[in-house]
Amino acid sequence: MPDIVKLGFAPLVDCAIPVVAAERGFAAAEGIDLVLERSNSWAALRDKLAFGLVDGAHLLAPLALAMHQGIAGIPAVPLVVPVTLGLGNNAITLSATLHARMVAVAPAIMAGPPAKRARALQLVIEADRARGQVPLSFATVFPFSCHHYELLSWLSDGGIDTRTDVNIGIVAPPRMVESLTSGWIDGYCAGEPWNALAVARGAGLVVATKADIRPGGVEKVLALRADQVTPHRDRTVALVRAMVRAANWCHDPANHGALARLLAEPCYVGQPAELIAATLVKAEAAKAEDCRPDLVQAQQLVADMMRAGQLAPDTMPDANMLAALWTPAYHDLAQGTFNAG
Amino acid sequence: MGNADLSILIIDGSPDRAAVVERGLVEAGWVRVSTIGPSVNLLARIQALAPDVIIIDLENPDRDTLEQMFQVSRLVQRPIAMFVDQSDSQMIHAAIEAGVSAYVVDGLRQDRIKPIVETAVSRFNAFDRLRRERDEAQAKLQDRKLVERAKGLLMKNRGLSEEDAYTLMRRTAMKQNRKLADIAQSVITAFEMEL
Repeated sequence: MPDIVKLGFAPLVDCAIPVVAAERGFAAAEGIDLVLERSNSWAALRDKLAFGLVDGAHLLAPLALAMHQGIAGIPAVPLVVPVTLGLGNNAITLSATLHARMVAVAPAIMAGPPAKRARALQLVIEADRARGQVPLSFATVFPFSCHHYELLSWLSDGGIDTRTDVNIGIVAPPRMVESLTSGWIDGYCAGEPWNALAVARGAGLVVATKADIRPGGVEKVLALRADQVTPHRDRTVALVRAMVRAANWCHDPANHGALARLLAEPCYVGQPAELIAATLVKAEAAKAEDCRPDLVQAQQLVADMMRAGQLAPDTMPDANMLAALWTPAYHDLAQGTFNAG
Repeated sequence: MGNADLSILIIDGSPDRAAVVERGLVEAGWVRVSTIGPSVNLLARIQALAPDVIIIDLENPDRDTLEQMFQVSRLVQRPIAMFVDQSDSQMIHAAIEAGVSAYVVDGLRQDRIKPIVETAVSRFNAFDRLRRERDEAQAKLQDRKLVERAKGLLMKNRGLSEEDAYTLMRRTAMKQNRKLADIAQSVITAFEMEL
């Protein structure tokens, strides 16, 4: 009898690794029956993980830390991150109207490095303020998300005060494009394919990507409930090995066509395969070595969360707590066996 | 203040289910119950209704938006997730399994929230059971149509009586350990290929 492992995921291109592990036999080869359950909201994924309806989840890296630390709106849930996942790029998409205004007011800045283009936005904001217009609104996918920190960082670098100059709200990824087209928001930072979709529909333009703003930053992780990891050490190593092999499969450009078609299925991302394929070409590498959870990443997240005002002195994680959460041991064990075999 | 005074708001992607939950709550004695569907202007509407309890389907993408609004807004009384109070983990489990989540105004006593959440959970479960039964009934009807058609083809082309045609298919299904409808489908496909 194979071990059943239930994982939750969100409809994003970077759910690729668990999906491939389940669909291409990598999990089965490790004696694991990997059952995937989709959620359209991060809050739903958080709750299902917190109360054991799933054993683990494809999760925003900062959300894993926030849950473990007990600041994610629910009581603390001990988690283990044995492997990181990442394929889909985050990007900042602005409405076509706003983008055009920025190009009109500062063509040189808009032709320059994407990381600095918020300076053009700052000029638009000043012009709006002079005319007494209401502030522009931007959305990210969740308060505890790299998207949130990336948007804040991009805006701040343009000299924009993120607390007073703009409104920043939360919209679930599948709702982003309609929120932009309805004029409810003027721009957002989200993962793919939700930027490519806005561009394809002519609703928005990508102004900067994660690679422009925070190259090499961690994005999604596999977060497992600690009570599912500790008593099942071998199974966890096997699961991580399946994920690493799936990551290598995803990384091979020869598989991108098949991967895009797989993710396009309604039960996964449910968007056109061509759209997903285009984002895979641009996606960051997800080779086996990139899946190793590095403590430096966790420390970086702590710094981001502090800057965003999400951590207070009494909720600050200590080194032991971070090490319990961010655990490369399973990856190293899996890789060791992997290399030996 | 009695229980009936609590203002309850139901937000559900499925308007039919919202109606079922609303009726359940009203029948149980809560009179101030409203429902809203997916909306981009949630905060303004929530502000206008000033609910003490919000029942929202667990998978609703608007939850992400709502939670953050609750945190930053001074316009609405700050509701917190029902899951924060873990004194009744059995109820929380039942709620998540049924796909129900709830937000309550901070300070509202657990014993006043519990019957509301329990009513919502039982209505969610009843709704899903009805939907499942409806789907099954439709599937059964579909199966029966297939069997009728296959029977007709066998009678016409093989000169069998209605009873013999049916017995032949049922026996084949039992022998091959397949569903009668599958056999009927095979019969239909076979005759269609001959045409």
